[in-house]
Amino acid sequence: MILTNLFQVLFSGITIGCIYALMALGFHIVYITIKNVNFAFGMFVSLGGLIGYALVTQLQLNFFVALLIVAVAGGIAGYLFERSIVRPIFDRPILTFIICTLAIGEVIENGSSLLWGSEALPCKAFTNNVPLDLFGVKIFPQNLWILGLTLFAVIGAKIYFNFTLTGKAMRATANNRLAARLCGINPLRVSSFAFISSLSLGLFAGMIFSPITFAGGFVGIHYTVLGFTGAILGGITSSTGSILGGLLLGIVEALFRGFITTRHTEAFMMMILLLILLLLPQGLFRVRSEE
Amino acid sequence: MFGTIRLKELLIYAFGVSLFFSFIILANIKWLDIGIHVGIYFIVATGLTILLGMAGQISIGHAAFFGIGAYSSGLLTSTWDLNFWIAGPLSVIFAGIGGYLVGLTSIRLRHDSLAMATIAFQVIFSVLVYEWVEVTGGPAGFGNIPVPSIGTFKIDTETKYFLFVSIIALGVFLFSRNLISRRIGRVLISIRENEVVSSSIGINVPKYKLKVFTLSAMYAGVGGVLFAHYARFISPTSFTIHFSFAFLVMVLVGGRRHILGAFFGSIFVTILPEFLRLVSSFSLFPVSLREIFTNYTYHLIIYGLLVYFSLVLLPKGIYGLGVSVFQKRL
Amino acid sequence: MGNTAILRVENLTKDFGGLRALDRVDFAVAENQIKALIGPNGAGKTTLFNVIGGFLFPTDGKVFFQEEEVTYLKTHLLSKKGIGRTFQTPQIVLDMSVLDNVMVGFYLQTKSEFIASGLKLKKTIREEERVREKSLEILDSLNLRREATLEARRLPFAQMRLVEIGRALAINPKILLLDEPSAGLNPYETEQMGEVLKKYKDLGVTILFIEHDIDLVMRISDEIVVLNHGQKIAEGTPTQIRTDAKVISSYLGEAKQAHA
Repeated sequence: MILTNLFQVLFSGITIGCIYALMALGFHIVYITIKNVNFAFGMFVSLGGLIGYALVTQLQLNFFVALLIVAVAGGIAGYLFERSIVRPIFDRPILTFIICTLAIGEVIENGSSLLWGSEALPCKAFTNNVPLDLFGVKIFPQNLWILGLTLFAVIGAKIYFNFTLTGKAMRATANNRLAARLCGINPLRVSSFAFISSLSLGLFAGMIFSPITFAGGFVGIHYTVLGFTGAILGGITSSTGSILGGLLLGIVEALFRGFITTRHTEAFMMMILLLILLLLPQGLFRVRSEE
Repeated sequence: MFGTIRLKELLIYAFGVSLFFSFIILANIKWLDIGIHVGIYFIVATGLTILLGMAGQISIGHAAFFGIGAYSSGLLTSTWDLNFWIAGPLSVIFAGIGGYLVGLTSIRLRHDSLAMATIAFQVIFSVLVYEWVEVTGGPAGFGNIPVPSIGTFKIDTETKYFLFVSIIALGVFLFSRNLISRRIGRVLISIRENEVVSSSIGINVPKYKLKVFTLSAMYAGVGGVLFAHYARFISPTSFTIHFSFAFLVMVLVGGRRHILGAFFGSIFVTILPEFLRLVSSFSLFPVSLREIFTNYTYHLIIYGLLVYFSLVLLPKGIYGLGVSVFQKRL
Repeated sequence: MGNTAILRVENLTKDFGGLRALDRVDFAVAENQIKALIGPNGAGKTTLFNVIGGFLFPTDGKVFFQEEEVTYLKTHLLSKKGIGRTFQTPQIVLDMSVLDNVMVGFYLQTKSEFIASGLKLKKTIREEERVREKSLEILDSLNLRREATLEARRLPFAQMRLVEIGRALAINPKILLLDEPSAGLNPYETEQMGEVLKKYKDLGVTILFIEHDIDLVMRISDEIVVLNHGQKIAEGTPTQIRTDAKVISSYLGEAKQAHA
């Protein structure tokens, strides 16, 4: 009996973990490019869920089409974000970027609430959400979709980063802009690309997650903090680390929520963040080869 | 720089004093209420200005310190019947302890991680007051917070409370000004600009980070105590991260490099909604825009955009704008 | 060398992963002398400063200040002991006035903490006055008195360097570690800088400085240490160094490569 419970919880944890992994990857990509954190990221994730809601639940579009639209919208948002917000404050101190993105995040979240209301909206699952029963463990198809789509996105990202020079270009740009330029790398293009891919991942994650939770509801800052926590847990400078960190974080959250209490889960997650920051700032899975 | 801007400061003081007296003379409940809020937020924002503007440390969780002050004082006086003049200062100390804990994390963390850590503390606080129903009343909050009293004299009208808050705000301001214009101010600014170099002059950077976080939190605690005993009923919704953001707006838009920035910032954030509402109520005002001017969500969007623009265009905030306008005239 | 060594490094080694930045470096700075630290780029000079100054800990070896081991002492404690430092680019606070920049250097010699300052106690006012006067004196000696109330960002580069030195002087140092004080200065300014350094040597300050301007080095130094590839390759008076074969080959070698 307790084993079934455990597997149920683990499965739920892996599902949440997938979302955290995607978010963590989004933070990682931006971090290795500008050595800074986009505090509006979580709001964009939430936005992905809302756009998905509008397309699927309201406009009745096919969910694959909607997902594609959302991912592309994320890319466009990333491009606009980089041009209008990141670029003007490129050479400012670290804090300026943090506060600016925080402010823009507020704008996005409040703007979203004007369009979609401030209540959390329930979203239709991608396919008929009848749970399969595997040895007593209920497997919801939506969770499988999340797993599959996350895998797809992660593999796609990994292939892109490993087989192109993009990843190296990003690190080079973060380390030394001038030197990067001298190597033929255009820091502006790299920066654009980083935000395009980061926000695309973010909106994508938001949409595939929304049928399980809700869309909207002023959760932007929570996504931001949890995505960051996942990245830090695994090592924000490593793409594999960030992904694994997000997964692990999801599992830890599910374990706590499932076996201890739902009420204090949020506070528990925050304590995890503080613990990691103070004890393990390098992360667990720092893969040396990526340095 | 610190001793030479006499005339500009004088003008601002004149403005402040006239504002104060206009509130008193008006004696309009609504405006006194606004004035009290301005005063309270001014105190909190000043603390945040010292932390962020002077020492360069980020805190996206100041509402938590504000809340510690409010909840502590409220609980100590209502549930435990403690005298306000003991409960208040005690609550400020509690807020300071909270600041100290956050300060501990600031010693080793970079700005981005520190920002996240302050959010974490804020969320932990919010969850705490929300869930610990037996003590804090949970989401419903709790009331019956007594007014402050000196013997038989009760500070129970808006006018009296406004004077009360104003006196404390003035004291806070003078204390802060003295602090910043001397040794400590230079030390904090030096830390903000370059921690490594600061240690090469002998400054124990961790010690000062701890102290400034503690001090800044205590300011917020003072604000919280004043808030609790004015509203006399508090609930978790007044101490969320959105409030923390509001405090940041006050500091950033008002001008984070100068101690008077908090003054303009708190006025701005408190009065802007009122002002917009007033403007939109004119009959000549286009109806289509009326929604924007009255809906609070739009205000929040405006705040966000203002913070962004002020960081990009006006590093010195409203205060800086006034200064440069003034300088051009000379 | 009858003078006591005010600063001594012994067998100092610093590795960064596979890279050896300092290799068993040994030398001493006698009290009240001006000693130059020269060598090609990448020789390890700034690393040496960083180790002495407590920003880095060595892989091996020791640092002695007035015969007391200070190898692992934190930077702010080293300043307390009397080690002052400037950096390759002047690290002054552009937002503050020139005077404030120097006054902050008096941190160690003042005591007013938060409460005393905030309450504007008499002792705070007196202390502030005292610091202000002493700072103005330092600015006087650096010919910066006129610029005292200007915002530091408005100064030309050469004067910014002097402000940084002024701040280092404020800690009342027994030894000043200056990192390329003449970098970015024209010949006239460099000569002025030389005069300032000599003046302070006469006032009892010991100076150890990194330099690339060999003329300046030859002109004002009592002794010179030469580093190359993290190793000390020569040490002696300007005359000795000028004629040292190893020094000539390493510098000439550099010059050859530059002209290639």
